[in-house]
Amino acid sequence: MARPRRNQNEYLGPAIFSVCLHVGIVILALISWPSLSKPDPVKPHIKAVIVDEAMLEQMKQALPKPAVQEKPKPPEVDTRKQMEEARRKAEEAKKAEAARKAAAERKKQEAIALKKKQEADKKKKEEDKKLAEAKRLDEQKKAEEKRKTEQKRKEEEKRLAEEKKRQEELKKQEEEKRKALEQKLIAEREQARLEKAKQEELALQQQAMELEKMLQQQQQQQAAEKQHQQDVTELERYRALIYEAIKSKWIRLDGAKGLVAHIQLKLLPTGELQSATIAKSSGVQAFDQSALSAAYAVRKYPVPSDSRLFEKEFRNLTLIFKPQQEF
Amino acid sequence: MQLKYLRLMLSGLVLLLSLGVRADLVIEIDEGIRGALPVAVVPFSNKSGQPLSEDIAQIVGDDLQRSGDFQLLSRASMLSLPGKGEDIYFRDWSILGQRNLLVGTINYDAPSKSYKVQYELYDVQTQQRILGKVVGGRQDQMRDIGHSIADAVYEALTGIQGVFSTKIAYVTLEQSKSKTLYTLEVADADGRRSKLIFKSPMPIVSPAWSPDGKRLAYASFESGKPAIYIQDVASGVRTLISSYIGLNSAPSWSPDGGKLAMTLSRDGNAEVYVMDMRSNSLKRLTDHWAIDTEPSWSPDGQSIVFTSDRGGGPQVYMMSSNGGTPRRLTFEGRYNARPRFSLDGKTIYYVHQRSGFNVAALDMESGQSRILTETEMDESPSVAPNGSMIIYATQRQGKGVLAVVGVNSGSKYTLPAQFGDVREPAWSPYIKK
Repeated sequence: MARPRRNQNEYLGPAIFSVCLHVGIVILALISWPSLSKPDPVKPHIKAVIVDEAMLEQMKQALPKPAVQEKPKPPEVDTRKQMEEARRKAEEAKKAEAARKAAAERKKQEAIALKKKQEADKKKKEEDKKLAEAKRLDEQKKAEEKRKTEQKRKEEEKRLAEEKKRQEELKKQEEEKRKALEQKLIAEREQARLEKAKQEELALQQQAMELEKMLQQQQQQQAAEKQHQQDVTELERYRALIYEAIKSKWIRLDGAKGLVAHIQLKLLPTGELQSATIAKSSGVQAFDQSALSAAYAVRKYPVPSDSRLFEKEFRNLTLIFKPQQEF
Repeated sequence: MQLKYLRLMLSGLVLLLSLGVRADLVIEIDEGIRGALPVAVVPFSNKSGQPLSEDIAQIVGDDLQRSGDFQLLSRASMLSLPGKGEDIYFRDWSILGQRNLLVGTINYDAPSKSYKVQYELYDVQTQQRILGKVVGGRQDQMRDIGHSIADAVYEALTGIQGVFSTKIAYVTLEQSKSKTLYTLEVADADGRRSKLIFKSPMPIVSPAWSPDGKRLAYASFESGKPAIYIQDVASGVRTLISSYIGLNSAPSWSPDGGKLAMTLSRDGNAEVYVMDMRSNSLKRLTDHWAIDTEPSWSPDGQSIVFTSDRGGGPQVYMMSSNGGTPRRLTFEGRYNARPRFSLDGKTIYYVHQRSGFNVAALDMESGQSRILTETEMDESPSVAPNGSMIIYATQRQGKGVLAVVGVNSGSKYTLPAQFGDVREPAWSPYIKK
């Protein structure tokens, strides 16, 4: 679907307008731009010239010197004299005129010079005044700065002094504290020393007591050990006897290796069996039964005649049936 | 100084503690006497009012005695004959050195025409009743009752299931001038009550029980050449399993009963094959120019042991039941054959030749072997289902007889031979009822 083409004429009006607008803008820019960009005129610098006497002298010398008068030729006899005279008179007149003119000129020059000098003086005065003003302002400023610096310095000094004072105060306080603490520590140390001394004394007493006690215990212990050794000997003897008695009555089963049965025995001081029970089953009833049967099959258990040892070790016995070999 | 005293005090304390608060004295019994357990089996009190065809107590006593694990008190030595627990004077039996005592009473139940046997087993030392049961049966089941009581007593006292109620199969040979007769028979484990299963003028060899104890596989030459049959023991129905060209022999059931290993020479040489019982498909296990025969399954069904002369003479080899490379197990002697696994699969029983032929046991873990029998011509070992005994064939005065040896006890007995030569025994599994 083609976009409908507009008639080119439709653009003509706006185009012309646009061109005119642009041209206008450009012209405006060209007109206004230079004025905008034109720098402000710089004020001419005042160049003060100080005219002094030397200068004046110089100026005087610069003035045109009167022309060197030519020496008049000797008048020619009469006429010549007359002529001479006339010429001389003319010359004089001329000279007079020149002198007058020169005087006038000189006067004029002098007037100008005077005027100039006055102006220069005036100018100089103004300059001086200006300079003096500037100088005064500068000095004033400097003085102000100096005053400020001084003030600052004084404030700093004051602050430092205060700080120093505060520090000293603090130091003083700390010192006091330290001294107090020292005092306290000394007191405590003393107390501790006393305490320790007391403790040591007590400890010594205790030690002495303990030593005595230890010696007693040691003796008892030695006696107990001796008894224990005797008991162990006896115990082992009867243990071995019971082992043999059971072994001779226990008819083992085939393939019993790995089975374990615990039989709890209660014996009478006579060595007779009061009771035998399976404390821990092997899991195989026949094996448990063989162990129990063996325990009962022992008519009389070999037990120590020492009733103390019997009560301690043999009244209650545990037999563990645990075949080590298959055969 | 102080530390030393402290230590002294501590050790003293420990000592005092060890003497004071402590557990019972413990004595570990790691050894006992090896030998037969003294047992008294008192003749059962007959309250049935009927004469009995069998002496049940005697059957029980004989079974226990034969096992080798018990020493039976002779009846003549008994001071009293109690029929039940309350009549027992334990002291008497203890004095006689008895450990266990079996008493029983037989009653007759007229309406059912059956006998009830009430029996009790006591520990003479502890005076505890270990067992108390009632079993029943008809007049013709007296031996079964006896064997079942023996099984119960055996298990109560050894922890091992008894095998007195199991069966044995064997082959007999009767030879006269006019004829030769081979018979396949099944009898009680004590050799009594034998029954003819099959007979043939031609050889019958290597009977093997199915794992359920209901069928027998064997090789028969009845057709003039060997063939393998399976026969149902109760019904007598026979099925021909294998009659390939050449050798068909040595059948052996897998433990699950699904397969039968056998020796066939259909491919030209004796090799071990496995037949799937459902599909009848054959799988050849061995492949060697030598003779491979007498296969037998391990209890777990994973392995097969067999005899092979691939090493020059007959030796025992083992291989996976799925095939593979066989491993030689026996190295001692020139002749090792007819291998059978023990119940736990750790030992192999086989025939070993020294001066004569004996049954030997090889511990596979240690490689150690020991001779179990000591007669001249011992052969064909077969393991009892509880693993405690081995039945084997041997020679007695020129005649074949069956003997039993206790695997651990080493005790031996010979079964009564009724007729002719007896050979090729096979101990049945526990019979499933």
